[in-house]
Amino acid sequence: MHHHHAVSEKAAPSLFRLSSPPSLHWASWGDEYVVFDEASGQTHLLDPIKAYILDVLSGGNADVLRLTLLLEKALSVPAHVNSHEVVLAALEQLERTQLVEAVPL
Amino acid sequence: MTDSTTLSNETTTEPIAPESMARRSMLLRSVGKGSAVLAAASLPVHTLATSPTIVIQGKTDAKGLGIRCSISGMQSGMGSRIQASSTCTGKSPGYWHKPNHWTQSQTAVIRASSPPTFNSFFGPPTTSNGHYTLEQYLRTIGDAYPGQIPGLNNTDDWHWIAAWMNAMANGSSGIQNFPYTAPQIVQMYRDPGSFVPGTQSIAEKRAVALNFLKLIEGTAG
Amino acid sequence: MRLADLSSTELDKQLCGAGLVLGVGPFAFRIKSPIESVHEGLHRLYSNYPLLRGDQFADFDVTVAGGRGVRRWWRPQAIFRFDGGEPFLPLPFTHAFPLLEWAMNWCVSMHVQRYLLLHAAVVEKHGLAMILPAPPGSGKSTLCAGLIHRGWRLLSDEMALIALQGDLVTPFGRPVSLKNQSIDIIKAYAPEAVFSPTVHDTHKGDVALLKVPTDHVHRIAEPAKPRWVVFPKYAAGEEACLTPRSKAQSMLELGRNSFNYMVLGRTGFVGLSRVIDASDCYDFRYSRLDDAVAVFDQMVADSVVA
Repeated sequence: MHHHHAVSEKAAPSLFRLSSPPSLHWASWGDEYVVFDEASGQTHLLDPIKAYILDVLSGGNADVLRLTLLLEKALSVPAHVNSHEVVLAALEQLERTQLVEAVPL
Repeated sequence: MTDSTTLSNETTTEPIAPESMARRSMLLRSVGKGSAVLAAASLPVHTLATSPTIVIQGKTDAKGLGIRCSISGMQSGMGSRIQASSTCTGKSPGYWHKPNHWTQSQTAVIRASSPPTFNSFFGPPTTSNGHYTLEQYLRTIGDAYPGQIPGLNNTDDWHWIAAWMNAMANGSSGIQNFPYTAPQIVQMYRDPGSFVPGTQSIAEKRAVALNFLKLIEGTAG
Repeated sequence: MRLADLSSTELDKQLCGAGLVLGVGPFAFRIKSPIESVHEGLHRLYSNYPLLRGDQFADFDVTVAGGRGVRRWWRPQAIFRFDGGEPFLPLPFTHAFPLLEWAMNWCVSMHVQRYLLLHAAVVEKHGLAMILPAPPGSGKSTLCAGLIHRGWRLLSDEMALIALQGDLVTPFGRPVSLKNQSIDIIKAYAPEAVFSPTVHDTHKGDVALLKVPTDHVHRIAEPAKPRWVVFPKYAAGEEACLTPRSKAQSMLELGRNSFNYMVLGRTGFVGLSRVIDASDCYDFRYSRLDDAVAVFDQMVADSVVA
C-alpha cells in the first residue's frame, strides 16, 4: 500500500537519537507506557506511538523516514493517514520532554 | 545513516532486548484501535512533577509534613533533580506595602503610565475588587496616601500580588529559590490546571496553588 | 514493655531526663519534653505502643521544648528541636502535643530513604491493603478514622511506607489527626474512640488526635500486600461512586503524592510500579462513611471469592 508522505518545506531529513545514554526503564499497562529516565530523574506517561518511537531509538539512531516506515509496517496504518506527520508530531513532543533530540548535522 | 526508502526488515545497531520485543508486539495489538491512538501521538507528554508538599525551612503544612520546594525545574532541563534540602523563601505581603521596598522592575510595572488593575493584570477570571490597581492592593495597609483603599489585605488577590512581587524580586531582599517566575505566577492564576495535577475543579486548583504560595510568604528573613 | 506500664512519675522522669524511647512501627523515637500536655498526650494516645530501653538506638531524637526567655511565660511557645536545630517556627504552647506529631512526621518524611514514602492512608482487611492517597482537604483522615472502626486495620493515616524490596506496605500507624467537623463526626460514628483534648486555633482550625485501636498497635509489625489504590473525594450529598482509573495515571499521581519518589530515582520507580502492578486503581466519591465501608467491604468480598 503506497503512503503519500506530505513533507512540508521546513521538514529536514534529520536524524534523531535519545537525549542521554540508554537509561530508560519501562512499565506498561494496557495502552499506557510509563518510562523513567534515569538521566533526568523524570517519569513520563506515553501513548503507544511515542513509546514505540522511543523504543526504536533506544536501539539506535534513526531518521524520520525510517521511523515512519517502521511505524507503518508495524501498525498497519490506514492509507489516508499521513504517518510522516504523525511521527513528526510525536518527535516534537518527545523533544519537548527532552527524551530525544535531533542529531546536529 | 542514509535514507531507507524500502525496508523489508528492521535494521538496528544492537540486538533488540527481549522485553523490548514484547513491548513492541503489545503495541501491535493495541493499535488496532486506529485513529485515537494516532491522534494521541501529537499530544504533549504527561510528566510527573512532584506536588509541593514537603519542607520549606521553618514552615509546615497542617500535618507538619512541611513543604519541600519544587524548583521549577520541569522546564529547566536535564539533570535537574529535586534537592531534598532545597529551601525557598519569600516575603509576606505586608513587606511589600512600602514603595521603597520595591525593585525597579516591580515599580516599572506597578507605576506604568496606565497602572494595571488586578483584573487587567491577572484576569481572567476577574474578582470583585479587581478593578483596584496593584498599588492600591499593595498599599492597602501602612501610611495613608491619596487613593488608598483599606481592607484589601488578606484577600486572595492580595496574596497573588505578593507572590508575583516575590517572583519579581527573586534573588534579592533575602528572597531565594522562589519556585516560580513572575509570568508563571500569572499563569498559575489563570490556568492553575497547568500546575496542579489531579481531578479537582479549576477553582479548587487555584486555591491549592495559592495555599502553596502563601506557605512560602514570610519565610525570607 | 508498653508505655502504659510506666507509672506517671516514671513517664515524667524519662521525658524530662534522658528521654522516652518509643517504638512506632519500624522506627524508634527518643522523645524529650518538659511540657505537661505532651506527657498527657503520650499517656493517653500512645499507651499501647512499645517502649525500648533508654540505651537502645533511636532513629530520631525529638525534643519539644518550651520557649526561651520571656516566651516561657508571655505568649508561651512550644518549639521542636532536632539535631541541634529548630526545623519549625515556634508554635503556641497549647499546640505542643500536635507539634510532637508533626515533628515525628517531619523526621520520617525528610530523612527516610529505605522506604518509598507516599502521602496516603493505608488500611487493610483480610490481608489486602488499600492505599488512599489524597491531597489535604479531601476527607481522607475522616474516612480512615471511620474505616478503622468498622473492621479495617490501620497501617497508616498519613504516610505509607512501601518496602523497596518486594512491595509490601509496612505499618506506621499513629494517632489519626482530625480537624473541625470531622472530630464530631467520628465521635458520633465511633463512640468508643479515645481522643486527645481538642486544640483550638491551630492554623487549620480545631485539631484532635484519635487513638489507634489497641489491636492495630499490637499488629504493627505485620505488613500487608497492596491490592487497591483508591483516590477518595468527599462531596456532600453524593451517592457513593467507585470508578476505575488508569493504572499509569494513578502511578504518576501517586508519585506526585510521594515524599521521596523523586530522590529515590530508579529504585522509587521500580517500587512504585510494583505497587501499581499489584493494585486495581479507582476514584471514589462519597458523602457517607457507611457507604464507603459498604463499598470497600464489597471489594474485599469480591477479591476473596475471585
